[in-house]
Amino acid sequence: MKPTKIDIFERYQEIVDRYGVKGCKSNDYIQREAADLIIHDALYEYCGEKNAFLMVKKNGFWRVYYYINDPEEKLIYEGDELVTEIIFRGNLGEPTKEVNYLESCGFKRNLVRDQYFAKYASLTPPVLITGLSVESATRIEDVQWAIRLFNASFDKWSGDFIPDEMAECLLQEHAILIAKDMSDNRLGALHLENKQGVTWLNHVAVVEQSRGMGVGRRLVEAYIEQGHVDANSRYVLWVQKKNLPAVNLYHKKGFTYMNKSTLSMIKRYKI
Amino acid sequence: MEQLLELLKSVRPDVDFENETALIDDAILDSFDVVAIISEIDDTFDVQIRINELDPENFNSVEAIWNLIQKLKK
Repeated sequence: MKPTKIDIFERYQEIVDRYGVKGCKSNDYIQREAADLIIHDALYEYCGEKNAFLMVKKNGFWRVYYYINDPEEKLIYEGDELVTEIIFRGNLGEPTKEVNYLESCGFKRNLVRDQYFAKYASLTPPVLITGLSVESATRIEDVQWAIRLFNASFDKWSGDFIPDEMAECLLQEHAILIAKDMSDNRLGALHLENKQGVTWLNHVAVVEQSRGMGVGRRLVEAYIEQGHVDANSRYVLWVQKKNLPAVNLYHKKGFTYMNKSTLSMIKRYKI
Repeated sequence: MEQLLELLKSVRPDVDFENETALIDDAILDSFDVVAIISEIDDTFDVQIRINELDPENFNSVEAIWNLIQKLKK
Protein backbone atom coordinates (compact mmCIF):
# COMPACT_ATOMS: atom_id res chain seq x y z
CA MET A 1 0.00 0.00 0.00
CA LYS A 2 1.24 3.49 -0.86
CA PRO A 3 0.24 6.85 0.62
CA THR A 4 -2.85 8.27 -1.10
CA LYS A 5 -3.15 11.92 -2.02
CA ILE A 6 -5.84 13.85 -0.19
CA ASP A 7 -7.77 15.85 -2.79
CA ILE A 8 -10.40 17.60 -0.71
CA PHE A 9 -10.38 19.18 2.72
CA GLU A 10 -13.43 17.16 3.78
CA ARG A 11 -11.30 14.00 3.56
CA TYR A 12 -8.76 15.51 5.92
CA GLN A 13 -11.59 16.45 8.29
CA GLU A 14 -12.91 12.88 8.13
CA ILE A 15 -9.50 11.51 9.15
CA VAL A 16 -9.15 13.94 12.06
CA ASP A 17 -12.70 13.15 13.24
CA ARG A 18 -12.33 9.39 12.94
CA TYR A 19 -8.84 8.96 14.40
CA GLY A 20 -8.47 12.01 16.65
CA VAL A 21 -10.51 10.47 19.46
CA LYS A 22 -10.00 10.74 23.19
CA GLY A 23 -6.68 9.31 24.34
CA CYS A 24 -5.19 9.49 20.86
CA LYS A 25 -1.52 10.43 20.59
CA SER A 26 -1.05 12.96 17.82
CA ASN A 27 1.47 15.45 16.51
CA ASP A 28 -0.88 16.86 13.86
CA TYR A 29 0.19 20.48 14.13
CA ILE A 30 -0.50 21.11 10.43
CA GLN A 31 -4.22 21.56 11.00
CA ARG A 32 -4.20 25.23 10.05
CA GLU A 33 -2.00 24.57 6.99
CA ALA A 34 -3.86 21.48 5.78
CA ALA A 35 -6.07 23.30 3.28
CA ASP A 36 -3.05 24.96 1.71
CA LEU A 37 -1.17 21.65 1.50
CA ILE A 38 -4.17 20.02 -0.20
CA ILE A 39 -4.41 22.84 -2.76
CA HIS A 40 -0.73 22.25 -3.59
CA ASP A 41 -1.20 18.44 -3.90
CA ALA A 42 1.19 17.98 -0.99
CA LEU A 43 -0.87 16.12 1.63
CA TYR A 44 -1.17 12.31 1.61
CA GLU A 45 -2.79 9.78 3.91
CA TYR A 46 -1.79 6.32 5.07
CA CYS A 47 -4.59 5.07 7.25
CA GLY A 48 -5.10 1.80 9.06
CA GLU A 49 -7.97 0.46 11.12
CA LYS A 50 -7.07 2.37 14.29
CA ASN A 51 -4.08 4.56 13.44
CA ALA A 52 -3.70 7.20 10.75
CA PHE A 53 -0.71 8.95 9.27
CA LEU A 54 -0.73 12.18 7.31
CA MET A 55 2.30 12.53 5.08
CA VAL A 56 3.89 15.50 3.37
CA LYS A 57 6.45 14.88 0.61
CA LYS A 58 9.74 16.64 1.32
CA ASN A 59 13.12 16.68 -0.32
CA GLY A 60 13.73 12.91 -0.55
CA PHE A 61 11.57 11.81 2.39
CA TRP A 62 8.08 11.95 3.87
CA ARG A 63 7.31 14.08 6.90
CA VAL A 64 4.78 12.13 8.96
CA TYR A 65 2.05 13.39 11.30
CA TYR A 66 0.45 10.64 13.34
CA TYR A 67 -2.78 9.71 15.08
CA ILE A 68 -1.90 6.71 17.25
CA ASN A 69 -4.74 4.90 19.01
CA ASP A 70 -3.50 1.31 19.00
CA PRO A 71 0.21 0.65 19.64
CA GLU A 72 -0.19 -2.87 18.25
CA GLU A 73 -1.14 -1.59 14.80
CA LYS A 74 2.20 -0.73 13.21
CA LEU A 75 3.12 1.73 10.49
CA ILE A 76 4.48 -0.72 7.95
CA TYR A 77 5.09 1.52 4.93
CA GLU A 78 8.67 1.05 3.69
CA GLY A 79 8.74 2.75 0.31
CA ASP A 80 10.68 5.86 1.35
CA GLU A 81 12.40 7.41 4.32
CA LEU A 82 10.02 8.72 6.95
CA VAL A 83 10.63 11.53 9.42
CA THR A 84 8.40 12.61 12.27
CA GLU A 85 8.75 15.06 15.13
CA ILE A 86 7.33 14.43 18.58
CA ILE A 87 6.48 17.61 20.47
CA PHE A 88 6.88 17.55 24.22
CA ARG A 89 7.14 19.84 27.20
CA GLY A 90 10.62 19.79 28.64
CA ASN A 91 9.54 19.64 32.27
CA LEU A 92 7.57 16.44 31.59
CA GLY A 93 10.33 14.68 29.65
CA GLU A 94 10.10 12.80 26.39
CA PRO A 95 6.74 11.09 25.71
CA THR A 96 7.75 7.47 26.06
CA LYS A 97 4.54 6.01 24.56
CA GLU A 98 5.08 7.73 21.22
CA VAL A 99 8.82 7.02 21.23
CA ASN A 100 8.26 3.34 22.02
CA TYR A 101 5.59 3.02 19.36
CA LEU A 102 7.71 4.64 16.67
CA GLU A 103 10.74 2.54 17.64
CA SER A 104 8.58 -0.57 17.34
CA CYS A 105 7.82 0.58 13.76
CA GLY A 106 11.52 0.86 12.91
CA PHE A 107 12.11 4.57 13.63
CA LYS A 108 15.36 5.68 15.27
CA ARG A 109 15.97 8.76 17.39
CA ASN A 110 17.55 11.65 15.50
CA LEU A 111 17.90 14.81 17.57
CA VAL A 112 16.19 17.01 20.13
CA ARG A 113 15.54 20.71 19.52
CA ASP A 114 14.48 23.24 22.14
CA GLN A 115 12.57 26.47 21.56
CA TYR A 116 13.87 29.73 23.01
CA PHE A 117 12.18 33.09 23.31
CA ALA A 118 13.11 36.68 24.22
CA LYS A 119 11.62 40.14 24.30
CA TYR A 120 13.92 42.96 23.26
CA ALA A 121 13.81 44.53 26.73
CA SER A 122 15.24 41.38 28.33
CA LEU A 123 18.21 41.05 25.98
CA THR A 124 21.77 41.99 26.84
CA PRO A 125 23.35 44.82 24.83
CA PRO A 126 25.67 44.00 21.92
CA VAL A 127 29.41 43.72 22.39
CA LEU A 128 31.53 45.53 19.82
CA ILE A 129 33.81 43.26 17.80
CA THR A 130 36.30 45.04 15.56
CA GLY A 131 37.23 43.73 12.13
CA LEU A 132 33.81 42.24 11.53
CA SER A 133 30.76 43.58 9.72
CA VAL A 134 27.25 42.15 9.38
CA GLU A 135 24.89 43.34 6.66
CA SER A 136 21.75 42.22 4.92
CA ALA A 137 22.65 40.31 1.72
CA THR A 138 22.05 42.38 -1.41
CA ARG A 139 23.58 40.00 -3.97
CA ILE A 140 22.14 36.67 -5.05
CA GLU A 141 25.63 35.12 -4.81
CA ASP A 142 25.75 35.92 -1.10
CA VAL A 143 22.31 34.36 -0.54
CA GLN A 144 23.29 31.24 -2.50
CA TRP A 145 26.48 30.98 -0.45
CA ALA A 146 24.42 31.27 2.76
CA ILE A 147 22.02 28.53 1.60
CA ARG A 148 24.96 26.20 0.88
CA LEU A 149 26.43 26.97 4.30
CA PHE A 150 23.11 26.31 6.09
CA ASN A 151 22.43 23.10 4.22
CA ALA A 152 25.94 21.81 4.95
CA SER A 153 25.63 22.75 8.64
CA PHE A 154 22.09 21.64 9.54
CA ASP A 155 20.23 18.39 9.86
CA LYS A 156 18.02 18.13 6.78
CA TRP A 157 15.42 15.97 8.53
CA SER A 158 14.33 18.63 11.00
CA GLY A 159 12.78 21.14 8.64
CA ASP A 160 15.98 23.07 8.16
CA PHE A 161 16.78 22.30 4.51
CA ILE A 162 16.47 25.29 2.14
CA PRO A 163 16.03 24.48 -1.56
CA ASP A 164 18.18 26.50 -4.03
CA GLU A 165 15.09 28.01 -5.65
CA MET A 166 14.37 29.90 -2.42
CA ALA A 167 17.41 32.17 -3.03
CA GLU A 168 15.62 34.90 -4.99
CA CYS A 169 12.77 35.03 -2.50
CA LEU A 170 15.17 35.29 0.48
CA LEU A 171 17.02 38.09 -1.31
CA GLN A 172 13.81 40.04 -1.93
CA GLU A 173 12.72 39.63 1.69
CA HIS A 174 16.11 40.80 3.06
CA ALA A 175 16.06 37.58 5.05
CA ILE A 176 19.79 36.80 4.98
CA LEU A 177 22.49 38.51 7.03
CA ILE A 178 26.11 37.96 6.05
CA ALA A 179 29.13 38.40 8.34
CA LYS A 180 32.35 39.46 6.62
CA ASP A 181 35.87 40.36 7.70
CA MET A 182 37.66 43.53 6.61
CA SER A 183 38.89 41.77 3.44
CA ASP A 184 35.29 41.05 2.44
CA ASN A 185 35.61 37.32 3.15
CA ARG A 186 32.32 35.72 4.17
CA LEU A 187 32.52 34.22 7.66
CA GLY A 188 28.94 33.32 8.46
CA ALA A 189 25.28 33.87 7.71
CA LEU A 190 21.90 34.10 9.43
CA HIS A 191 18.39 33.53 8.09
CA LEU A 192 15.60 35.48 9.76
CA GLU A 193 11.89 35.72 9.13
CA ASN A 194 9.24 38.07 10.45
CA LYS A 195 5.92 36.34 11.06
CA GLN A 196 3.04 38.23 12.66
CA GLY A 197 5.24 40.47 14.76
CA VAL A 198 7.70 37.76 15.83
CA THR A 199 11.20 37.70 14.39
CA TRP A 200 12.28 34.09 13.95
CA LEU A 201 15.89 33.02 13.75
CA ASN A 202 15.60 30.19 11.25
CA HIS A 203 19.28 29.41 10.61
CA VAL A 204 22.66 30.68 11.70
CA ALA A 205 25.99 29.16 10.71
CA VAL A 206 29.65 30.14 10.75
CA VAL A 207 32.37 28.72 8.49
CA GLU A 208 34.43 26.15 10.36
CA GLN A 209 37.71 28.09 10.49
CA SER A 210 36.01 31.19 11.95
CA ARG A 211 34.14 29.53 14.81
CA GLY A 212 34.83 30.64 18.36
CA MET A 213 35.69 34.20 17.27
CA GLY A 214 32.39 35.90 18.06
CA VAL A 215 30.98 35.73 14.51
CA GLY A 216 27.85 33.85 15.62
CA ARG A 217 27.23 36.28 18.45
CA ARG A 218 27.62 39.27 16.10
CA LEU A 219 25.14 37.70 13.66
CA VAL A 220 22.63 37.09 16.47
CA GLU A 221 23.02 40.69 17.66
CA ALA A 222 22.40 41.97 14.12
CA TYR A 223 19.29 39.73 13.93
CA ILE A 224 18.02 41.26 17.18
CA GLU A 225 18.48 44.77 15.78
CA GLN A 226 16.71 43.80 12.54
CA GLY A 227 13.66 42.74 14.52
CA HIS A 228 13.70 45.66 16.91
CA VAL A 229 10.62 47.88 16.85
CA ASP A 230 10.18 48.54 20.57
CA ALA A 231 10.95 47.02 23.98
CA ASN A 232 8.26 44.37 23.41
CA SER A 233 9.68 43.11 20.08
CA ARG A 234 9.63 39.32 20.24
CA TYR A 235 12.22 36.78 19.07
CA VAL A 236 11.87 33.00 18.76
CA LEU A 237 14.27 30.28 17.67
CA TRP A 238 14.86 26.54 17.77
CA VAL A 239 18.27 25.19 18.70
CA GLN A 240 19.66 21.67 18.86
CA LYS A 241 19.88 20.68 22.50
CA LYS A 242 23.39 19.25 22.06
CA ASN A 243 24.72 22.40 20.35
CA LEU A 244 26.07 23.77 23.61
CA PRO A 245 28.00 26.77 22.19
CA ALA A 246 24.77 28.01 20.59
CA VAL A 247 22.64 27.25 23.67
CA ASN A 248 25.14 29.13 25.87
CA LEU A 249 25.13 32.09 23.50
CA TYR A 250 21.33 32.37 23.61
CA HIS A 251 21.31 32.12 27.40
CA LYS A 252 23.94 34.86 27.66
CA LYS A 253 21.96 37.09 25.30
CA GLY A 254 18.87 36.73 27.50
CA PHE A 255 16.81 34.10 25.69
CA THR A 256 14.82 31.66 27.83
CA TYR A 257 13.73 28.09 27.17
CA MET A 258 10.01 27.90 26.34
CA ASN A 259 9.51 24.46 27.91
CA LYS A 260 8.86 23.24 24.37
CA SER A 261 10.99 20.65 22.59
CA THR A 262 10.77 18.26 19.68
CA LEU A 263 12.40 14.89 19.16
CA SER A 264 12.80 13.97 15.50
CA MET A 265 12.70 10.29 14.60
CA ILE A 266 13.67 8.71 11.30
CA LYS A 267 12.78 5.46 9.62
CA ARG A 268 15.30 4.75 6.89
CA TYR A 269 14.35 2.71 3.87
CA LYS A 270 16.47 -0.39 3.51
CA ILE A 271 16.67 -1.91 0.00
CA MET B 1 -11.86 29.57 34.25
CA GLU B 2 -9.08 29.30 36.89
CA GLN B 3 -8.49 25.72 35.89
CA LEU B 4 -8.19 26.74 32.24
CA LEU B 5 -5.76 29.54 33.10
CA GLU B 6 -3.65 27.08 35.04
CA LEU B 7 -3.70 24.69 32.11
CA LEU B 8 -2.69 27.41 29.63
CA LYS B 9 0.11 28.61 31.86
CA SER B 10 1.45 25.09 32.18
CA VAL B 11 1.79 24.99 28.39
CA ARG B 12 3.14 28.54 28.00
CA PRO B 13 4.32 30.02 31.32
CA ASP B 14 5.69 33.13 29.56
CA VAL B 15 2.32 34.31 28.21
CA ASP B 16 0.08 36.82 30.01
CA PHE B 17 -3.14 34.91 29.36
CA GLU B 18 -5.20 37.20 31.61
CA ASN B 19 -4.64 40.14 29.27
CA GLU B 20 -3.77 38.83 25.81
CA THR B 21 -6.62 39.05 23.29
CA ALA B 22 -4.79 38.12 20.09
CA LEU B 23 -3.07 34.85 21.02
CA ILE B 24 -3.37 33.51 17.47
CA ASP B 25 -3.55 36.73 15.47
CA ASP B 26 -0.30 37.97 17.02
CA ALA B 27 1.30 34.50 16.74
CA ILE B 28 1.79 34.29 20.51
CA LEU B 29 0.57 30.70 20.30
CA ASP B 30 1.90 28.60 17.45
CA SER B 31 0.61 25.34 15.99
CA PHE B 32 2.57 23.28 18.51
CA ASP B 33 0.96 25.17 21.38
CA VAL B 34 -2.53 24.79 19.94
CA VAL B 35 -2.09 21.01 19.61
CA ALA B 36 -0.79 20.81 23.19
CA ILE B 37 -3.66 22.96 24.51
CA ILE B 38 -6.31 20.91 22.68
CA SER B 39 -4.88 17.73 24.15
CA GLU B 40 -4.79 19.20 27.68
CA ILE B 41 -8.36 20.53 27.35
CA ASP B 42 -9.50 17.08 26.25
CA ASP B 43 -7.88 15.53 29.34
CA THR B 44 -9.00 18.18 31.81
CA PHE B 45 -12.50 19.14 30.64
CA ASP B 46 -13.42 16.00 28.71
CA VAL B 47 -14.34 17.89 25.56
CA GLN B 48 -12.97 17.27 22.11
CA ILE B 49 -12.19 20.28 19.96
CA ARG B 50 -12.82 19.50 16.32
CA ILE B 51 -10.97 20.89 13.36
CA ASN B 52 -13.84 23.17 12.33
CA GLU B 53 -13.53 24.85 15.74
CA LEU B 54 -9.90 25.79 15.19
CA ASP B 55 -10.74 29.30 14.03
CA PRO B 56 -8.48 32.00 15.51
CA GLU B 57 -11.47 33.67 17.17
CA ASN B 58 -11.91 30.55 19.35
CA PHE B 59 -8.30 30.75 20.58
CA ASN B 60 -7.42 34.43 20.68
CA SER B 61 -8.12 34.84 24.41
CA VAL B 62 -8.74 32.81 27.52
CA GLU B 63 -12.39 33.93 27.43
CA ALA B 64 -12.77 32.69 23.87
CA ILE B 65 -11.28 29.29 24.75
CA TRP B 66 -13.48 29.11 27.83
CA ASN B 67 -16.57 29.91 25.76
CA LEU B 68 -15.64 27.21 23.27
CA ILE B 69 -15.31 24.65 26.07
CA GLN B 70 -18.70 25.67 27.48
CA LYS B 71 -20.29 25.39 24.03
CA LEU B 72 -18.82 21.91 23.50
CA LYS B 73 -19.95 20.73 26.94
CA LYS B 74 -23.59 21.38 26.09
